[in-house]
Amino acid sequence: MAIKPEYTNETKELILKVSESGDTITIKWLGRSTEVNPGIFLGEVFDEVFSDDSKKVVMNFVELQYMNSSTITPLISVLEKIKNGTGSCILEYSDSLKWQELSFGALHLFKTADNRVDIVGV
Amino acid sequence: MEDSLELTLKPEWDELNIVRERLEHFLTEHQFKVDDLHALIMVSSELVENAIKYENSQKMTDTFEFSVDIEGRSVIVEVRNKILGNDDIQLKKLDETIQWIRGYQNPFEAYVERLKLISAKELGENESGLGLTRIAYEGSSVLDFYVDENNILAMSAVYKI
Repeated sequence: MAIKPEYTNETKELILKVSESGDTITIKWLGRSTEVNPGIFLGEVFDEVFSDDSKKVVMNFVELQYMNSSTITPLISVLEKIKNGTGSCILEYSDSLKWQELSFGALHLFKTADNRVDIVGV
Repeated sequence: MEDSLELTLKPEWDELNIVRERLEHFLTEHQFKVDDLHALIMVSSELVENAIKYENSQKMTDTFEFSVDIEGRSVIVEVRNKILGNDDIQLKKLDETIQWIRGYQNPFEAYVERLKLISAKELGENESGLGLTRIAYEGSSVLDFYVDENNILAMSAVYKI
């Protein structure tokens, strides 16, 4: 299935803007992720975006305003899947926003030694 | 200027937007720094989400109360909702989760451990307890609860400015 340039959740609060350049797919997270079960929307997006292991996926959260704890579950599911596979996923967060530093900093436990999975403050 | 914000909420997901907007306005009026504002909005949202999920799971339609009180350098966020009289199982789970969090020297360790359990699929999304652990770690808040004689569960998080 072709990757779309933009994905919006049902409440229209969360927008994922997708761009491709060479072997890198970048997903920019915008707005707020507050749905009761964001895993449904995110699962569908991740299935499309992570379908090709040869592509490096960068998820940029710098402009994300807020995410609830229910959003973290599908995120860590995809990190765990990639960690145990051969794909690549880099999470970029704002290291000048304390909430992002705390929230994404904890996800370093999913970082791989070969940096296929990495969590980077920008 | 009032040091308290009190809202009566319906157990509907859209109410979270009202909480966020009113709380942001309240905290901005009190000149809270942006990091404290983010933390308190998160703490409040997670507590209110839990209350709404509980109400909906028990098919209850009662309104519930949300309050934020500034007392010196402490901010007390509290959610109060009626629970079923025979809901000892939920209360036991809640108590176990809070005691589990308190068992760690550092809330960061509890949070990382929770992430590990979720990623290993040892905890499902509805039982993850990640929201409460996040309140303790990212929200730097101390959690507590009590149930009064009218079966009102008061769940609180105390945040130090």
